[in-house]
Amino acid sequence: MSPEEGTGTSPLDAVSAEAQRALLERPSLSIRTRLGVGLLLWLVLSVGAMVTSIVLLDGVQAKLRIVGAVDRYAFEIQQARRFEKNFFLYRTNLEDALAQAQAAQEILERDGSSISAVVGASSVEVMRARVLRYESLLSGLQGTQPTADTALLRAVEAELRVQGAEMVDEAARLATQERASAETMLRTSQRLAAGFLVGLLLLVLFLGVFVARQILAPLNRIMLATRRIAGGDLTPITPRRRYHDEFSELAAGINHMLNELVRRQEILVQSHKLQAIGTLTAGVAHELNNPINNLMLTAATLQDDYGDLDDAERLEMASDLVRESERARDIVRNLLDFAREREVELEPLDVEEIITDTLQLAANQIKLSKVKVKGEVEENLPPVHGDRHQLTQVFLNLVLNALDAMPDGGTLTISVEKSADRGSVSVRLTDTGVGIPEENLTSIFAPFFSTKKHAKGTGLGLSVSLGIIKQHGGDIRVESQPGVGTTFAVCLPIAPVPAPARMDEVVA
Amino acid sequence: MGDLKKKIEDWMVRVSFAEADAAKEGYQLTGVELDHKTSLALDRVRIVRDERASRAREGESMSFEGGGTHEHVEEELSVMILDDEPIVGKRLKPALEKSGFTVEVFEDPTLAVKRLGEKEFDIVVTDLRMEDLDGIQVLEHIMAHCEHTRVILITGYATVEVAREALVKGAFDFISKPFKPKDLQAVVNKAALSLGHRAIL
Repeated sequence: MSPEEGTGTSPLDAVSAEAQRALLERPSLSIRTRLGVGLLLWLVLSVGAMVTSIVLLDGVQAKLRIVGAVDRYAFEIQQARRFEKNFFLYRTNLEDALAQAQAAQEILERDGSSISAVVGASSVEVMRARVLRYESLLSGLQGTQPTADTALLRAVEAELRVQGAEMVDEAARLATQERASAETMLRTSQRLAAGFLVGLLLLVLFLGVFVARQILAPLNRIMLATRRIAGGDLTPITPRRRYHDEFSELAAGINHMLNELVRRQEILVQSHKLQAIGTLTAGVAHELNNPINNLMLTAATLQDDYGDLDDAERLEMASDLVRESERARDIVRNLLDFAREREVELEPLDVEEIITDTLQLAANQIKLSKVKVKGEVEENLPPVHGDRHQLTQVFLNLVLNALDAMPDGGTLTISVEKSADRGSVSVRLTDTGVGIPEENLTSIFAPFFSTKKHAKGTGLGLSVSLGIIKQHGGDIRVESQPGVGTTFAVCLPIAPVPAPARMDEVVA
Repeated sequence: MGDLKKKIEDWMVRVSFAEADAAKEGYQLTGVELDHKTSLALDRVRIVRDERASRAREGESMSFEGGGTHEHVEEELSVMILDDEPIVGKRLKPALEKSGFTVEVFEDPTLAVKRLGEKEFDIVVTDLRMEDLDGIQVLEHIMAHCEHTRVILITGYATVEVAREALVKGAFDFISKPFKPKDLQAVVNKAALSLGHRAIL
């Protein structure tokens, strides 16, 4: 979108088509998709964290069970060893030692599978082998007499001691190892919870920023746009982000509405113009009567008295016919020129020239209403930027209103000058008419407000005029004193301030 | 449905102004209706001053004074034409002079009113819409100062309001633009006849 595109013959149409295309042609990434992705991320994160902590807790539980089993096993072994020691010292408790060893073996058999799942089958096998060996050694001692070979007993005792110590060591090592790993797992699940918390906070933060940036910001922008539209600027909304989402659809909808508004504004302008033409036509018809009468008188004389006239007289009558025909053509030509429908064309314009054109159009009305028109034009006025025919329509409306306000004649003073800030040209039309009561001053620009009786006015004139002037970037103000007169001041910006410049703002 | 529709090849033929005009050739709308034949006859007669009528106007005695009458028979009636369009006077003057009137033409109503103070015209033909003074004002002036003068108004549009105002204020008749010299001759002749003058064919 370059601002140059706005300066074509029909700027608004081209701009709106371009904006509409740009709005909808961007890659589509809807807010629904983005919100969906965010929520899915949240779900995955939560489920992941939950499942991991369940798995971890399950592991911890298993470890604790193993630790318990190993502890019981170690206890049984230690008991067995105590009884075994008693046996060697006092030859008692061998049965008890054996029972303890068997209990240890039972524990190993019962929990062996879960232990082997953690520490590996081989070490469980080793443990089992040791328990069996210990048992077999103990059962080997059964039946031996207290007087038996001490050397043999000693050998058995030594091996029992070795096996017992090994078994206790192993169990202690295993318990320590498993306890440590359980602790690690607990720590991990703690960290996981903390990490999940941080992740959750970040996600919430992200969603907050997302809502603000992706939803509130465009909403705000659209709100600003509607405010601008309400102020009379009907340029379309243009895209500002890389993606096309629901707000793009909304913007496209608003642009569509703007298009309709522009079209309706054009229809209003046109219908008001037709109304003005209607008023002018009455004057033209009156004025046209004179040349037509002259034509008829001359032609009839020529027809009736042709033979009695000499060549010079005939020639004079013929030239009268031509001149009066030209006069009739000129009377109609201005009106026809004004009535023709045409495209809006912005160009630098001389305000004085437009006022003169307007007065020429309304000349018949002015003559009929016996109003004197005076003027006051500042020297070296800069040109204003606008559409010649639309501005003519505005001034025509103001002039016709002034004539209506002075039914018994009066003076219309038109002064053209640069405004105080030098940025615009102000045209003041002051009549000596009936004036506008103060309570009506605020509503005269409202559409369909009219004080003219018997359907003489549609109440569109000032509303349409203000619309046109606002589109030109200007303004109309009114001052009135009932019984003294009314002044309408039209401000028009100098040089190329209006439409293209405003388009810049929209694009920026 | 289609069969019920009336087909009009060229509607404009029905509204042709040329045909309408041809149908009422020689007829012109005036305030006091003239029938076709009267209008045709009136634009051709020649009006001369009637001594009795003149005397009545001048407040002289109504008695006949022998052959003296005939010396005045050919005396022409005076007509003033007032219209800010120069061509109106230029065309009407010869036409009325041909019918035997003395014609004075004015474009400026102020000058015309001044002249009315100097001379009493039999008939005044004035445009209604003029700068400075309009036809109604001229009519009022004449009604106030010259009771025997017949006033014929030329109007742009013969609307009911204008007609009523003109007739109430004492106008003899009005003629609406555009008109032909013959039309005005007819109305002027009618006015002359109403003053009691005689028509000669």
